[in-house]
Amino acid sequence: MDHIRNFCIIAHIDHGKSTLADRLLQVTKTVTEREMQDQVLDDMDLERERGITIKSKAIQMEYTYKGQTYILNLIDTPGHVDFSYEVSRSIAACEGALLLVDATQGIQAQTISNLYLALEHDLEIIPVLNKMDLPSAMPEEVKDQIVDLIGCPRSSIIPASGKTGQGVEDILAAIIERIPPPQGDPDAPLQALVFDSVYNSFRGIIAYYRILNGRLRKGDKVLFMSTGKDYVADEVGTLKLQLQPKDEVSAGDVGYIVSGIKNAREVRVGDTITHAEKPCDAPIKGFENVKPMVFAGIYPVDTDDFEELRASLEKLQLNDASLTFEPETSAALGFGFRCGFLGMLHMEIVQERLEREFNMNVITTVPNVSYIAYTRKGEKITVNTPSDMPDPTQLDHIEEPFIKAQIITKPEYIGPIMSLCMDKRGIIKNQSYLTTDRVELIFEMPLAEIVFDFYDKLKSISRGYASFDYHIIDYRESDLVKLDILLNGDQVDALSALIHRSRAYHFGRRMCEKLKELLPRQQFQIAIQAAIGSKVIARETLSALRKDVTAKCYGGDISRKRKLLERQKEGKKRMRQIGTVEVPQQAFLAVLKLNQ
Amino acid sequence: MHGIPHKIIHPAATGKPLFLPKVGLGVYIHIPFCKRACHYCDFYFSTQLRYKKELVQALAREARLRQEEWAGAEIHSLYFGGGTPSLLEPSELADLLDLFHRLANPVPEVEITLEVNPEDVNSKNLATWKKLGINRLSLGLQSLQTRILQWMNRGHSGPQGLEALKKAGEAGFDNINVDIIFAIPGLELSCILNDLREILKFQPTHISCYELTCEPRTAYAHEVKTGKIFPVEEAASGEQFLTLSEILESAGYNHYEISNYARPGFEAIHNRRYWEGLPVLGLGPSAVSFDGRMRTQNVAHNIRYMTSLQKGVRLCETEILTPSALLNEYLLTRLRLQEGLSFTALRQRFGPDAEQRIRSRAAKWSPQVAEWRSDGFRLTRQGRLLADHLAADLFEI
Ligand SMILES: Nc1nc2c(ncn2[C@@H]2O[C@H](COP(=O)(O)OP(=O)(O)OP(=O)(O)O)[C@@H](O)[C@H]2O)c(=O)[nH]1
Ligand code: SF4
Ligand SMILES: [Mg+2]
Repeated sequence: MDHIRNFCIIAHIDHGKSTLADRLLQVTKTVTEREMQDQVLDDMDLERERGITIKSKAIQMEYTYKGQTYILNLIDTPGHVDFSYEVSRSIAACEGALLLVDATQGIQAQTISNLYLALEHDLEIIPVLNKMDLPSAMPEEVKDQIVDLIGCPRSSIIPASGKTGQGVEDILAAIIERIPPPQGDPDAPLQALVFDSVYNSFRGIIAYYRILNGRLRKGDKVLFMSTGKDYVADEVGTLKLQLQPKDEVSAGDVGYIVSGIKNAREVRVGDTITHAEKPCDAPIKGFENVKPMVFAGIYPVDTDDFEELRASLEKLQLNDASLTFEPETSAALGFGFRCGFLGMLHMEIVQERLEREFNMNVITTVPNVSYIAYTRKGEKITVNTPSDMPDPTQLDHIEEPFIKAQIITKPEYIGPIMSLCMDKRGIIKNQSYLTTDRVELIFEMPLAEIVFDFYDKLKSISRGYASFDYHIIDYRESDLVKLDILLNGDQVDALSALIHRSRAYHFGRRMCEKLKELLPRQQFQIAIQAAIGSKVIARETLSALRKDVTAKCYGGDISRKRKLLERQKEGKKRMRQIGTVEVPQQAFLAVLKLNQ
Repeated sequence: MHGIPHKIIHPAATGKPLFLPKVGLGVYIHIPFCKRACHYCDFYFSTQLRYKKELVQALAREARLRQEEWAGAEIHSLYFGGGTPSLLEPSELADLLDLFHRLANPVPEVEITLEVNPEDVNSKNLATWKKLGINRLSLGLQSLQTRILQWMNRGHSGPQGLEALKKAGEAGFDNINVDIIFAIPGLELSCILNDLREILKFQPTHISCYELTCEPRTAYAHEVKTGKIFPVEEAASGEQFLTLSEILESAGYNHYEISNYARPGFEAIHNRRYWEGLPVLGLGPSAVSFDGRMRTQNVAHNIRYMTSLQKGVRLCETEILTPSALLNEYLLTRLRLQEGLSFTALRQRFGPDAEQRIRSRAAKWSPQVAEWRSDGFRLTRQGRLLADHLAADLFEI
């Protein structure tokens, strides 16, 4: 065990974690030249297309240092706020962390939040100053920032570049010298923490774990403690670029197990695996349940696919423990699920993964945050969807989640950022200069205001020179209203939204305009209205279809026209009928497109 | 009748026709030649007139090859369409008609229509056509505005068109159709109405009013695509349609099909067959045949048409209509007709279940688009503007 080191790479988004991991894998010859590509660990299509890491990825390397061969288990983590849960689980499997800081950008919001996550778990921090090859690198200044933040000796910061490979050997040496080997007793009863899992259609469920005590051998009878179910370990091994079967994985190491489990509900991230015959005394303290921030309904396009959607969500949840879902129904969309996400990017990724990995066609409804409503009788109701809202006559008041937002930027962007945050109902709490060229702004603002387009706006007004992190602080009373959309007088539940009264008018008008664009014209005119209770606050009229007729209809025209109309009608099957109005799928996404 | 299919073309299967004797048969002969290409036209034709003689021979071959398909059937109509059938030499036309009379069994009142372009109308031709037994002329006037005709690349002027109409009447043709086009960019409704007034002076028995449509791969489509010209807006074109319908109906013409008007007793016997789903035998490149269940379309290529027939083979595409396709076509065409849809007829052909389903779908329509009667409904003038949309609403898929 003295020759094992477990570490993760943490940083603000885009500071070069995955690229540095490439160099580590290369120097340790873990991947061959042929297998090598940029950000080789980002193996999901979505990750490659978007150039960001979405999932943490563990991989084992071997490295000989001063004549000794070491096993180094590396976990590359994502930098985007929405995926911080991935970081916290990775940290639980490690004794140390490389904290990367982009030498051209300095410390950013997630540098700080991820550092704190690592410190909470007593990880040994190795600060790395990355992207040193760039001419705009400011090593001395950024070193000052790091020393200020961590309180480490200046000399312990390793200058490096994931592009050129500078510093990679120093980093490997530091990992071995500075990170303590894992503790634990290989001869004690087995105790392994499941930190991730994935569904494989051929092999069933593959669980990834870190062994704290004991050994896990192929053929062992193992017990998953939270479900109390036991299985035979058909295959165990360690994580290389591909899975590498082994006879045994033992204390201190990171590995995988295939045990023929097909039911996604039987594997939970945070569970403890032990031996069925000789179990350990107690499970390892698992992970704190994450609290979803954003909720939206996900419905199958084809109403018959409800059960399949459930199975797909369960399988996806294996690989994305922060996703929550429970069944709900909508008059407009039928049976579906109310899903909880960590943010809008997370929601988008879940939707795309459902479509790509599980071939599901889904409709996603207007997202909202979770509110708390108090009734006159003093009941407290969690409102995750507009239809949870108590009747106005019963409602005493409603509270919405507030966040503490930390924004780090350059002084010249303070003005625009202030007005953006004020516009989002933010309250400035603090402004402090980290250095002459870097300001930290602290705001308190409603979570609902940052869910949609805050991050994009922030990036554009600061030309990318603003980083942002937040966490929930409390719930505060708020003047929220339920905004309904009516088509020819019929309410479309899937388009209702909970929104602050001051925003309702603008939002309602934009919704009506957008729907007018998206709805096909029909035989009659369609009134598109936005209303709060019985009060209509915006209206658009979609005129009736004026003309749809072929001039010439002889011989061959007839079959051509028939086929065309049949195809159109086939497409209409995917529309939902609201009262007399046919609503295409895209209309349900109207709200997400309000800014386009 | 038009369009160039890009699908697999195979030799036609020979087999006994499915024609029911009592509904008879219409015969269409496609003459795939024009002197020039009109800018909006996507019919199949060639401007290579040198193959004309050979093609007429091929037509005769096809007629003989498919003799079995018409043998025994009573022929109700013969239609020479195109292309430009008026380009046929008198001898060529005579040969075809001669063959027709030898092979077919026409009813005494058989309607024989010749499509003619105004520039081909002269006393000599008129006399020949009359003598050969043509009893209906369909005259491609399109417009009386010379500038519009030029823009369309037609081969005649406005006055020439009117002159042709006059001469045809004088030559003793008492059943004449005039084609006109509306929804032309830059042509005011008032201008169309003036043209119409001029035309009505000659009291044609039949008028076809076609909306100008933008068909792919035409010069017009190219102009639209490149932004050189803007098609008439839907609202304005709808307005023109409604006005033409009102005016022609008040002038004594029945608006018996979306694009067709006739004086009582002069509805086109041949064209009606398409809207009633009755059998038509189509000869010539791109011609479509329908026997009530199977539709075939000849290869839309003069050379391939001729060379294959030389080997005794007819190249065509075949489609066997499924029961739902038959029903959908029934709906599509019936809604176009003035008499509309009869529930009794629907039930007799497609069964009570289909009738019920269609009835209940139509029941949701606004009264502005359909006019209900005890045994069915028909589209109102407004409703006709939505004929395709409404038919599709009734479709079974
Ligand atoms: N010049 C230079 N560019 C780098 C270096 N490291 C990374 N980059 C570039 O920075 C961008 C982000 O690199 P990634 O490795 O994907 O960053 P990441 O931290 O893994 O990003 P997330 O996982 O999405 O948080 C890419 O365009 C890299 O090519 C470096 O050392 N020098
Ligand atoms: S004459 Fe008739 S068939 Fe020939 S191009 Fe003109 S419209 Fe088309
Ligand atoms: Mg990455």
